[in-house]
Amino acid sequence: MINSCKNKMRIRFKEFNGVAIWKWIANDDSCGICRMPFDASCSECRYPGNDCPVLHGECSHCYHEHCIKKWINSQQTNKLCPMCRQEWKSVP
Amino acid sequence: MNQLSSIIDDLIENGEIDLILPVIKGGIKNQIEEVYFPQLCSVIENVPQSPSANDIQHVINAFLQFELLLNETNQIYIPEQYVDKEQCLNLKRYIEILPSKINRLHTIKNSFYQKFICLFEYYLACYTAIQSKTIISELIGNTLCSFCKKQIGLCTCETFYRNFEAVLNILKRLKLLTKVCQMSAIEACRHRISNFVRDTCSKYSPNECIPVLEQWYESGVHCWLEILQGYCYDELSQSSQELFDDHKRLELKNYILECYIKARSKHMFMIIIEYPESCKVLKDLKQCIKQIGHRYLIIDTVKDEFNKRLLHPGAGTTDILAAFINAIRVLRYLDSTGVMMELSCNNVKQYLARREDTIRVIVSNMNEHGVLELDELTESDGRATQMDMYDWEPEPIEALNAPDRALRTPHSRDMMSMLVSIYGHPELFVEEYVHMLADRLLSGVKVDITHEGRYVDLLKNRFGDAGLQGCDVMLKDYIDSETINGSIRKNLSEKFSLELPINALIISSQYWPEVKFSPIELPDELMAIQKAYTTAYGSIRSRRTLHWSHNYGQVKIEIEIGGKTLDFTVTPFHAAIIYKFQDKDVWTISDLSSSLKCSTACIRKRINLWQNCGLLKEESKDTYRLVEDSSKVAQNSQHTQNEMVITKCGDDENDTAENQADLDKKEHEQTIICNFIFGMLRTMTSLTLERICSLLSIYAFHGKNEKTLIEVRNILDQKVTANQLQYKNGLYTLPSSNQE
Repeated sequence: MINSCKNKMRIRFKEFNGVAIWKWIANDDSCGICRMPFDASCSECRYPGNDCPVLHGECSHCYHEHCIKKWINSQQTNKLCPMCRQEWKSVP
Repeated sequence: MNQLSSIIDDLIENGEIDLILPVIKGGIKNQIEEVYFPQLCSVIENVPQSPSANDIQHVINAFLQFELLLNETNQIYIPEQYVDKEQCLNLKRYIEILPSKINRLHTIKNSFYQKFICLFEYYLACYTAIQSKTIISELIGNTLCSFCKKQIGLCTCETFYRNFEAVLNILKRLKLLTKVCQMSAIEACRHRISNFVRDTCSKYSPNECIPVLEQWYESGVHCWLEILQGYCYDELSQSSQELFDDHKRLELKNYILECYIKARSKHMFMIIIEYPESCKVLKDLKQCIKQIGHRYLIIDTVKDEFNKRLLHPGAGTTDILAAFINAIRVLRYLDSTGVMMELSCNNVKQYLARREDTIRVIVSNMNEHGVLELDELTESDGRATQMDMYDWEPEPIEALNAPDRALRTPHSRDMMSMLVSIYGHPELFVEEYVHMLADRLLSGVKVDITHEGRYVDLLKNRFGDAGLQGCDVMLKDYIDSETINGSIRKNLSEKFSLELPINALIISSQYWPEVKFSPIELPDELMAIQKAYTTAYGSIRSRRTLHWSHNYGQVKIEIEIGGKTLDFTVTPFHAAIIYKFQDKDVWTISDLSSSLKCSTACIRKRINLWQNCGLLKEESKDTYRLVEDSSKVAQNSQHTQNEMVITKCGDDENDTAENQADLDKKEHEQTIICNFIFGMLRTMTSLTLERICSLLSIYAFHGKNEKTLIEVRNILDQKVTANQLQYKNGLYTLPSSNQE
C-alpha cells in the first residue's frame, strides 16, 4: 500500500455503481442499408441491441441483421454484399 | 331679544309708533343673520374630520338650540294695541319665513357642506342599522346592533334617529336642505358603503356576500335617500328636478361592487388555495367583474401574492403547482377567455419552468389522485373539441396588456395544456420529461419500472409516440442492466474477491438524452474492476463493448481521517479527486488536472463538494489542502446524508441552468427552421415532408443539430394546427392568403 502511516486520510471503496454505454464493435458507425446507427435499431425494430443485432460479413462490412437479410432475400440469384458486391457470408 | 323688547318699549314711550314694525323686522333679521346662524355655522365647521358620537351630539345640540332661539323670535312681544291687525299678521308671517330669507352668503363656506357628509353618514349608519338588523347580524355573525352595539332588543337607535329628523326640519326651514343634500348625501352614501363593505368583508369568509349587500342597500341606503327626497319635495317641485336620479343610484350600486372587489381581492390567495370551498365568493366576484370590470385589481393581487408567498425556494413544488392549478381554475371561472389567467400566472409559469422537479410533480400527479383529476388530463387536446359559437365571449380589455396574445391562436385550454404551456411547446414538455426520466434512472435511486412505464403510456396517449419512443428503450435498458449485473457478478466473483461489488447501468446511447463524457483517470482499483466488468460483458454480449462515463454513477467510499470513519456516496469523478489527496495534502487545480488527465473546469465544478464537506480547504486561489483539524469534518459527517442531497442539488443547479439554455436554443432553432420552411414554400408552392426534410438538411442544418423526419413533421404539424400551413394529399402549402 502506498499509504504510509504519515497520511492522515485513507480511502476505501465499498461499492461501485457505474454508468456505461454499450457499442457494437464494427468498422462503421451506421448501417449501410437503413442508414441508422448500429447502436440504434433498424427502422423496423423498437429496441436496439439483442432485438436488432448487427451481422459482420466476411467482406468486413456490417449491417443490421434484419436489413441484410431483407436485402439477401430480395436478391434473385446471387447473394451479394450491397457495398462490395462480394458474396455475402456472415461471420458467426 | 330682551334688548329688542326694551327698544320697542322706548319707541312706544316716545310715541314713534310707525317705527315699531320696521325695528322689529330689522332687529330679528339682524339677530338671526349676525348671531344665531353664524353660531350654528361655526359649530358645524368645527366638527373634526371623523367625528365621534360626542361631536355629533354637539352639532345636534347646536341645531336644537338654534331652533329654540328661532321659536323665541316667534314669541316676540308685539304691542298689538299700536299696530293694526293686518300688519301684525304680516309681521308674524314674515318672522315665520325669515329663516329662509336670511343672507347666508358670507357665513356659509364650502366646508360647511362638507361637514354634512360626516353627519349624514353617521345617521345613515344609524338608519341602516335599524333597517337591516337581521341582515347585518347575519353578515357579521353576532346579535349586537351594528350602530349602538347593544343587543338588538335594547337598541336605542330609533329614538336617536329622531334627532336627525329635527335637523332635517331646521335645514328645511333655512331652505338649505336641497343644497345640503345635493352636496353631501351621495358622498355620505359612498362613505357609508365603503366603510360598511370594509367592515363586513375585511375578514375572509367563504359565504356569498353580494346578495346580502344588495339587500342592505335596498332596505337601508335606498330608503334613506327616498326619505331625504321626501323632505326636499317642496323645494324640488318648483324646479321639477329629481334630487337623486337613477344614474346616481346606479353609480352607488356599482360602488358597492367596486368596494367588494377591493376588499375581496385582498383575499385572492386564500380564495385560490381554498378552492373549491370558496366558490360562493367567486360567484360574487364574477358578478362584480361582469358588471364593473376592475379585473386588474384581481390580476395584480394574484401576481403579488404569488410572488410573495409561493415563488421562493422555501415553497415546495407540489404546493406551487397545486396553487397554480387552483389559480387556473379560479381565474378561468372568472374569465373564460383566459386573459386574466395568462396575465396573473405568467410569472408563476416562468418560475415553475425553472424548477427542476416541476415536470416530475406534474407527471407523478397524472395518475395518482393528487392535485389533478384524471378527466382533466385525458381530455383530448383540443383539435377535436370545436368551440361552441354561442359560448364565445369577447376578451376583456386587459388583453391589451398581453401583447403576445394577439399573435397566438386560440388553442385549447384544458388543464394539461395549461401545464404543458409552462414549457412552451408540447414537444419541449415531452423532452423535459425524457430528460427527467433519464436523470432519475441515472441517479442511482431505485426506480419502480412498472410505475414509470405507466406514466410513459399515459404521456403517449396524450402526446403521441414520436417523442417518447426513447423512454421504452431507457426503461428496458434499466431492466436489462439488472439481469446483466446479476450474471456478471457471478462471473467476476470467481476471479476477484468480492471486496468491491460492481453494478452498471448499461444504456443505449442513441435513445437517451445526450450522455456526457468528461475524461478522467480513475483510481487503479476502480479501473481494474471496470475493465473486468467490460471484459465480462463482452463475453455475454458478443461483439459489443462498453464505454464508461464517470460523470454518472455512484461510488460508495469510506474515508478514514483523524481516527474517524466517514461514509460518502459520490460520482466516480468526485472519488478520483479526493483519492489524490491521499498521496499529498496540497494540490493545485492545474496539478490535479494533469495528474487526473482531465480539464480544470471539470475539477473546479466538482471540488466544491469536498470543500463543503469540510475535508478540503481552499488555501489560496486554486490551491486546496486537506484539513488538519478533523473535528469539523466529524461534525459535518453527522449530516452526511443531507450533504449528499445538497451536493446533488448543487450539481443539478448547473444542469438546470444548462437545461434552460437548451430550451432557449431549441426554440431559437425551431424559429429558424420555420423561416426556412416558409421561404421554401413561397418559392416552390408545395412540398412533401421528405423533400422539406432533405432540403433542410442541405441548407439549414449543415450537418449540425440535424433533425429527424419525425421532428420536422412535428414542427410542420404544429404550424398546420396554427393555420400557418396547409396539408393536403401529402403536400404542405402556404395558406392562400399568405401566398402573395
